[in-house]
Amino acid sequence: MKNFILRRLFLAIPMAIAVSLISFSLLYFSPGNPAEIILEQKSPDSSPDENAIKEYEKKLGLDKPFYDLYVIWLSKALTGDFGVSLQNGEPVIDEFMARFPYTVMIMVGATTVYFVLGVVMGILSALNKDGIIDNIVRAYASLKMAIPSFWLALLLIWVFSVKLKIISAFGYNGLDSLILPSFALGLGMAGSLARVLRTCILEVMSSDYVLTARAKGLSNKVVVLKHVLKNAFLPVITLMGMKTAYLLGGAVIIESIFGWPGIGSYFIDIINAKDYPAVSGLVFIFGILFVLVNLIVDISYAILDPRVRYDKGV
Amino acid sequence: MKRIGALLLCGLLVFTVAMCGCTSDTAPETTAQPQTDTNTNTNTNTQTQSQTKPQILTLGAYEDLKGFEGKSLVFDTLMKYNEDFSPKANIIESWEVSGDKKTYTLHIKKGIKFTNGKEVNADVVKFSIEYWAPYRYCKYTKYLDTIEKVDDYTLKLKFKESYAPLLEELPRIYLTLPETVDDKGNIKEWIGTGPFILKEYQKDQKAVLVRNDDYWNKAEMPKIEKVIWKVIPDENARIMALKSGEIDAIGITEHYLSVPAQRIPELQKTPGLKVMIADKGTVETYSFNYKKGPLTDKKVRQAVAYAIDREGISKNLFNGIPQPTGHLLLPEFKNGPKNAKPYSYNPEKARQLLAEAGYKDTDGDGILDKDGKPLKLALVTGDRQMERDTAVYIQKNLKDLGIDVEIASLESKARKERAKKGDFDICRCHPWVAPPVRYLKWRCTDDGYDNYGCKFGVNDRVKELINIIYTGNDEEIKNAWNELWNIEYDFCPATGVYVRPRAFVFKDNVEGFRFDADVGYIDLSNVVIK
Repeated sequence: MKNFILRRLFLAIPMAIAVSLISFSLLYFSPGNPAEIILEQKSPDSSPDENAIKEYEKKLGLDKPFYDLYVIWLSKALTGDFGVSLQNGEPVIDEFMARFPYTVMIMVGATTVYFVLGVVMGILSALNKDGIIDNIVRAYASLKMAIPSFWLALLLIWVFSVKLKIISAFGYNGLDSLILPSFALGLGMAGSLARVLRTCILEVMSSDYVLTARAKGLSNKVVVLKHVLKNAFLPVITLMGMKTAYLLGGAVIIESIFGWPGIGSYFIDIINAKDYPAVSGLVFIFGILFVLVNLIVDISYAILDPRVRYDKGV
Repeated sequence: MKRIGALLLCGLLVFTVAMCGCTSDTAPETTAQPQTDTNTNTNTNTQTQSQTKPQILTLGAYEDLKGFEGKSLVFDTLMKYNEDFSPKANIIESWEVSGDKKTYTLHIKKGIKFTNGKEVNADVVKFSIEYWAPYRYCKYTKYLDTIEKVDDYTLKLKFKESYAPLLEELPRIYLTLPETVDDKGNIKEWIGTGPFILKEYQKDQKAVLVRNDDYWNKAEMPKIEKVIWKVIPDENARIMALKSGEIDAIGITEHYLSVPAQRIPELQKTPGLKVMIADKGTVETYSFNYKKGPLTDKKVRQAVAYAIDREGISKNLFNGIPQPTGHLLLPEFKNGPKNAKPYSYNPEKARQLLAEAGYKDTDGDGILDKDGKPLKLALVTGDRQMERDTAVYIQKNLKDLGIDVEIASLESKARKERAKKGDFDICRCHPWVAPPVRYLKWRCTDDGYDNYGCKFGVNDRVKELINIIYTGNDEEIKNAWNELWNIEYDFCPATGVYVRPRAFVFKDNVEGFRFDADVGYIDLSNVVIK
């Protein structure tokens, strides 16, 4: 296990470099000039001429070829210096640290919503196979997957903030302002989690050891909680790990709608501005984070299922 | 236990499905009297009301305070604009201009201080004139020879050659201390002389500004004590925040262009809200590629200009809100096209011009052709709904005449790339701005392509006229502008369609809003909360 963990951690850096190179290249070769874009942002009712753009390019250090720009950026990034944002001159790492906690809050909130709802619905659905509850849960899962999170977000705002006026929807004003964004992002995912868990529970319940447990006279509650759930949960853990990337993508839109000062809305700004250092820096950091998240998922697997081992040959 | 779980689940699902079945808010309230107050550029100088309500104004904004409009609350500009965009005094209280327009003597108002106590003097004004020009696209630095400090409150600007537009550019220059800005046009410390002081700032969340009780301009001292600038990037969410009462106004912070025209009728009918729509603004303009393709023929360009049903676009697409116009700039602005005749919808004239240009439908397919080539145009526009809808309507108008149009609706950067390469026949372009002298050196110096299509330097005479506008006396400048507009309208390198609707929406207990001529300037001097 130790070797496995070290191997995965070791691979995180080249993976992060690879994704940062891809994002840097895509941004560099896409239409638009960052110097021109940033100058236009400073004065939207005019446009800079060619000379002004060239001078600003020099100031921003963008008058170098692609290879030089990336190598300079990478050599600093590997020492923890992700450079400064072209837009405002602030260090990229400072921007990340200021915003990431807000995104984490939404992601944790959404994960809590979808986990709790998904697990409850999945268990009830499996234990009432083909019954009313099962049908309702399956219908809900299909319906929720068809409804985009941004539309649900606007609906929640309209109901709870505009009509009922019981909750403030915009910006961060304490933990209660986390409720609507968490539900907007988490409700859709709860449906898919419920379906997966239902399938897993039904599969496990038809296993020999479960039949044996029942034959031994153990109550349904003990059979389900002690034997079935532990094994049915393994694919759920994998799903939750995969959903982390989805959560981040969903958080971008949710942050924009709720005026949440997270990393998602910042990503949109810097991509639109072709802010290479900021985008590549954030992609690099997230690359490493995703490797860590997947590592945690894999370790959880090994903890939950003693059969899973990451030694050589397994 | 199972029953309770089932009941809870049913309740949750019914609630969720009920929410999913709800429509979004398009229907007006039925109980209260609808407010359909469409004030047009009303400068409501209300007397101070009995102000029992805390004077705290919350603005919903697309972006952070530290963008474009936010600066106007904290920083003064050296001069300001009148309604017709002629310059007026501000920090620079008076000036003299030499007859040859090579020397400007600027007199700075005494007794103005920054909020950190530092005094406004000639050194600070000189720094601001030199620093902000590249970031505000003012051309004067290219022609400036020296800035001489005559005394603590007087500067003399000497130009290498005559430079007429200086006074129309100085209203774009912020007054800032050297130590509060970096070398890339970013403000590091928000210390200004303006009507508000930045008290609290949370990046991309909100900013709190309090009234500057020592503001030097007592005539424009705000009644509002505190402004909260709340960032809500999504436009639908901003509208809902206004309806929920969380914010007091939207649209002001994005030079009045962020309220979609399609939602204005609904907002006008919403109880508790008022909508203000400006009666002046820039014109939605389309550039013609007169350098290659079918539109190299002037008759074809003019035919396209006559073929566009501007009234129809305004009425059928946008509820009559944008004012239709074939002008490139509204004549009311200083140096606007007062004597030029705008293009208007005239399909018969358009057909006649196309026939004169040699286009006929020889094969009966409904599309005109000439020398065996069908008349097909590529129309490049942006990806906003209003832009797409307008393009589709124009496509229909031209199709009725026998012109086949293919629309490319592109994101901003991609659209600019295509325009720069000349890969278009018709392209949505940047409108003429006010004062129009700013547009000359930017888009009229030659006939090349730029981010917005073909430039307006259609012939050598235009270049001569620009020179006269920059160096001539008032009479010569006036005549030069008249001639320039006549050339542009006759040559038809572009055409206007409608005045871009500038609107903002606010709660009906707030009074005193007005549009400033400078759309980037937020004027809260008369705003009160009743």
